[in-house]
Amino acid sequence: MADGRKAAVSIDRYLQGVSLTAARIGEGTYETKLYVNTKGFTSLPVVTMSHKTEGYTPEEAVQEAGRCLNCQCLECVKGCKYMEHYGSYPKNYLRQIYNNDTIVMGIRHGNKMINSCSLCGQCGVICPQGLDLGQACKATRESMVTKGKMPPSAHDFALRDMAFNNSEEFAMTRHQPGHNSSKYVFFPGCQLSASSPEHVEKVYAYLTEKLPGGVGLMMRCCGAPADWAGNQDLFQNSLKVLMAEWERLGKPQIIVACSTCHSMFKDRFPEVISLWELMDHLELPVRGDNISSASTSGPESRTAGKVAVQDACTTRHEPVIHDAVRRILTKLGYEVEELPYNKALTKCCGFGGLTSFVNPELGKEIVEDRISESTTDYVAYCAMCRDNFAAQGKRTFHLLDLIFGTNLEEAANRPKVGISYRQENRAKLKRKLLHSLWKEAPQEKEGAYRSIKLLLNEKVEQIMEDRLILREDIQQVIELAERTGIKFINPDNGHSLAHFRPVKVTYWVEYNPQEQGIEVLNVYSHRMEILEDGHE
Amino acid sequence: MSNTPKKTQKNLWKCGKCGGELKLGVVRASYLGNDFEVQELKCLHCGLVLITEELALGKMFEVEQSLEDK
Ligand SMILES: [Zn+2]
Repeated sequence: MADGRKAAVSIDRYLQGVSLTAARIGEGTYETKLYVNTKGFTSLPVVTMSHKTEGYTPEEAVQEAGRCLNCQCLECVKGCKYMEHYGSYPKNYLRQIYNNDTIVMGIRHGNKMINSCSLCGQCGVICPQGLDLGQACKATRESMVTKGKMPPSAHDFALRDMAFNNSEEFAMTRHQPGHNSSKYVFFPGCQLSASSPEHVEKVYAYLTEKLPGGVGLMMRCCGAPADWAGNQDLFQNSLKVLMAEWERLGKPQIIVACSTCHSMFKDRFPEVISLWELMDHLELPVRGDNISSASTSGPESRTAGKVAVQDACTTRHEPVIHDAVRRILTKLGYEVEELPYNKALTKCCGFGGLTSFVNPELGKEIVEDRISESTTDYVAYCAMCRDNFAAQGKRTFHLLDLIFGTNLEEAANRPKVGISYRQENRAKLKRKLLHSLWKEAPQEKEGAYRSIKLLLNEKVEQIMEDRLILREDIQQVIELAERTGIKFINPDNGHSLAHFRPVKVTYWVEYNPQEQGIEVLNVYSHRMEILEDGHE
Repeated sequence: MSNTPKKTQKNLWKCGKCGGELKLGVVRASYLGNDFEVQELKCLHCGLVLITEELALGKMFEVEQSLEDK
């Protein structure tokens, strides 16, 4: 067949009148670095010529040519919605990334593509050559930031959320109450604290009960959003503060509940341990009593049902965590279903690399693809995986739901916690813990706008979610407008329309004051600044 | 971002600050060091500028995105 191709090229060149011999490399058989998965193909014998001397008949030739697999090396593309989304394959993507980074003048068409990769490393594991497109995307993001060419809107919200998590609103470091040293420190992470703050409380109570020597608590951001956004200065600065806090506690062993935190810490702090590995070694907590489908005739015969495990993409190279999670599930009486892409091959939920902020449509495709892999209930051990799947209607537990075992029906169907409530949950968690465990009075928060009560219907809340507008942004707009009178009025219905630009985004809110609060009718924003002429 | 603005509406708004009528006028805008002049609704009397949802999520968003990629 190779000879046939060679002859065809010669014929083509001859007919075109070009050189028969120039630049004829890569013809015939040679060892390639590319890989073809031949699973699903049955090998077919060579088509024999009916007349040896006359060669193939046209029909025979077509039949013989039909044996060609027209092979392509696309294993990584098959496993990744991101690669599929952009319709090509790594060689082309690498060229686009390179061109985008080296362009001096003109439009950088590749920005969104480079910022849409979840940096999850799956392609690097699938590829027999270990080609990891995410590494190229991440290095290029860093280069874009350094050159001042990173689109400001790309990661703005995620980085502001990170700033919130490292602010007084959420960040805190304490020894265990009644202790002045810490052998361990629990680091729950921003997203578990946002999605299910009650689990943070339960886990902390469990750890302080089970572990001797003091279990401190540190709440703040691990820095992942800055790392993913390619902002190494911000990442290193965040890490520096974190490290100083950790040293202040006496360098305790860090226990992480979030796989992303784990991936950020494991090479930077000694003996970082995942909560799952630790819980696998300790006695599991006593579970709540209303476990729906479990029989109560003892752990041996208990079948709590089947769950399909969503491995967090940041545990890709952590078989110890994969095994610990499965052992915990088995101990709890669950039958474990493995998804087609699991453990080292697992798929990201769309949060990794900040994909869903940069490219929400792709984020949605990624989730749809992943949740369609099995009809079994999923169990995730990353709060973002759980929330992203739940947001699109997939029954998904967090592993802690099953470990503590209360209200499982409710847990499986619990909707995603929206962006405003994520920040509120974190702030509330801090105040609650400071009050209940450390007996500290919460600091009074500044800002008159905080007392403005908003009436939001589901439609407006969805708009806020899609447009990344927080309750706080809306409260600030209304407070300013009502204080200064700078707003527009619709004489027909009495609605007000006002704007406020805290820093780099101008927020517009259409609202209508009611007795119980202020009804919000619409919100939108823009980044462009209007240079008002003032009062001529 | 989901940027599906509502249908174009005729201007319903009046300036809440001075009660003035709004008319299209020249407005200066700036993004990433680029300045331009656009036609937008502003109060005839005090100059307060109204950016509609349609503009913010439509044309303005497009311009922002293309300036960010420059
Ligand atoms: Zn006016």
